[in-house]
Amino acid sequence: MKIHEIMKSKEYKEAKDKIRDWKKQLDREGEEETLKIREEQRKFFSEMKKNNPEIYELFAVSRKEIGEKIYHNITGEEAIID
Amino acid sequence: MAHKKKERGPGNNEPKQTPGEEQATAESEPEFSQGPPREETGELEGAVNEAEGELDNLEAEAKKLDWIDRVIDAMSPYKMELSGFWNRNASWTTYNNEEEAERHSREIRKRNEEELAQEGEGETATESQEARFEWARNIGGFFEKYIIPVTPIINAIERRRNRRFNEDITEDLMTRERLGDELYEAVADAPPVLTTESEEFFELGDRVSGSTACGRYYCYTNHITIESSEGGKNEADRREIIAHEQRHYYSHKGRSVNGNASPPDWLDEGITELGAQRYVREEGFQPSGVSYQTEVAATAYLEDVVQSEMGEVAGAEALERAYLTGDFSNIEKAVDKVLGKGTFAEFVEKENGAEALEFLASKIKESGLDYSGWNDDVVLQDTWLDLGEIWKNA
Repeated sequence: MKIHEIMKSKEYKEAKDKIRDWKKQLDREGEEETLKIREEQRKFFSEMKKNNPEIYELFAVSRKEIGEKIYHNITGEEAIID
Repeated sequence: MAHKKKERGPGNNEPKQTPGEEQATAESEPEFSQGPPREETGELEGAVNEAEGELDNLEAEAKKLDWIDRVIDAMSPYKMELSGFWNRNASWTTYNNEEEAERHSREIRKRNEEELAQEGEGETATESQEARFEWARNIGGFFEKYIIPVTPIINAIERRRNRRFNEDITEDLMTRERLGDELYEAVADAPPVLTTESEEFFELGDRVSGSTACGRYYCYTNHITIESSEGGKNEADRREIIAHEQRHYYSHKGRSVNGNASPPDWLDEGITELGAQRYVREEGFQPSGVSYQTEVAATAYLEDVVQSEMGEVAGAEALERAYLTGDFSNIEKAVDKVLGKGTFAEFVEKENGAEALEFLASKIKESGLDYSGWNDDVVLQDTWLDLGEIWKNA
């Protein structure tokens, strides 16, 4: 996988911005907004897995981080979801 | 975000009328009509006031969000200190045996089920469940006749094997030599407890979190879970997952004991995975893959840089110690000495492993450090990363 090339792509940059926004929102939002983000990111990553599997792999930790924040916002429990 | 109020003036209080409505009014209320009736005007004013009240509320909400944004931004330089404070003051729950941990798992499962039921998603089958149902339907009676009767036996064997792997790994990893005196004392009475959970258990968790997993570590406990795959995963992979999750436990405990912050997630996962991969290979197992590959590569290069300053053994030990205690000051000193002041701080600020990897490679190349042979690391060899391309573009 050619990381340098992938990181220059429009898809990578857009995904990075989206992930940054979600993480920021999840740090302050309540359950309703968290559920909305959960669906948005699920659809977004599911599409990415199909269309851009290499970019999807690069964001493995970001997906994990978002999942952990969602899980924490909903259940109050902290877990490392690997 | 500030909302500019619309000024009230002539015409702004007038109700909007459709052409049909205009005609009807003209027919029923001839020349003496001077605009909307009094009652209607009162209702309209009420509606306008209500709408303005709503706008005021929205404005207040917007200000509050803006205020929260500013607080979050202002707090960001202190994130590490806050995380350290949290780690130091977190309360821990220890599970003394599998039975206790299974009770914890049941609580987790119940909570996840309740959450999904509340959301109205209790009965929704996920894609993978659907795929399994489809598969079961296709093979018809074979499933009921041959698979269902032996499933509990297979699961029991699998649980027993996983428990044995967990004990083996604990024996190897939970030593005074590996963990250091302080951390060893802290975990000596609380070895990691592993439970093997069904695919349904993991699917419920995945649906709540919106992300998939095959292993979980419940923070501030010694409880880890791995997914039952009914014999689908090989022993090397299972051992690797268990070692990975155990390392999360030891490092969390170590940072808690020392009151230090956790490193960024990408670095945490990079060190966790690199250590787990090396350990299982040392034990003679060959995992089928490496997780978090860019994070692992960034970690391996970081270790190389530290080793170039401290020596091979001392450098590797220093990075492991930093991981287990959360105190990266020695790593920062070594990296900054080799690659220039401020390099480590900039490295850990990167948003993900790929960016950290690219940044570190460019700093290494710029410094003139000899990096030949660094890609020969056996774990790096098993990744699908084009490491040559990274150095070429650094």
